[in-house]
Amino acid sequence: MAKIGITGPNGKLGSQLVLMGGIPMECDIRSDDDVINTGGHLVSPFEVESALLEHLAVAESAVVAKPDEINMEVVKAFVTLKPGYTPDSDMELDIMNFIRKKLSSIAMPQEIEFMDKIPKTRSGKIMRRMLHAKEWGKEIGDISTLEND
Amino acid sequence: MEEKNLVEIKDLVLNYVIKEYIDEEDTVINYDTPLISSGYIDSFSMVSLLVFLEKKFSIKIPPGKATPEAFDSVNNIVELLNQYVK
Repeated sequence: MAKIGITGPNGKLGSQLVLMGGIPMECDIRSDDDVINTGGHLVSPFEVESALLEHLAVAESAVVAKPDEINMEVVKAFVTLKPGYTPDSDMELDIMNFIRKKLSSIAMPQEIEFMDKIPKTRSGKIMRRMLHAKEWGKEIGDISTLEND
Repeated sequence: MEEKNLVEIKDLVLNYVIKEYIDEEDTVINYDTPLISSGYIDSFSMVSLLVFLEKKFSIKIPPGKATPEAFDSVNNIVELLNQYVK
């Protein structure tokens, strides 16, 4: 497995090596929430979300960091399923193994939470900030842009 | 757990480990083979094995009990299961 570490010009945290399909790729850092640092390995939530969408049963996905005593952070996925699929432990295991084999064990969600709907802004962007705050026990903050039913 | 059941459970766990986590076909795994400490299963993958065991045996293993040591061999796993499977 490829080793992943933070790099940056002149020691600045401006770019990093992120696991993309098992290959370390240099990416710009946009914010702390754009990368999950799990046991020193950096995982792109966007790559995990994209891989989740390739699973037959997954309709929507959002991936955030979840606090972890040992690894500092671990990958947590919020998932909505397509009609006809059941959100149970069989499905959770199937999705976990799918990601483990498609990406890596590091990128495998350590927890999958099935939702009826992923919170999004009115313009259709996933409100990861809201999910992240929920996991870390923080204030959710401004949700005025949250999409209504 | 009866002796017959014990062997059946060991085989079930062993077969699942081989099917899901062992890539090389010529790798020989037995009940005592170290799984975590030898690197066959990493700590991240352990969660999926935990989900499999909880689902298969309809049990809930407390987070503090699902340690790398408890998952380090099929024998260790079955010993752990023995505390929760009725």
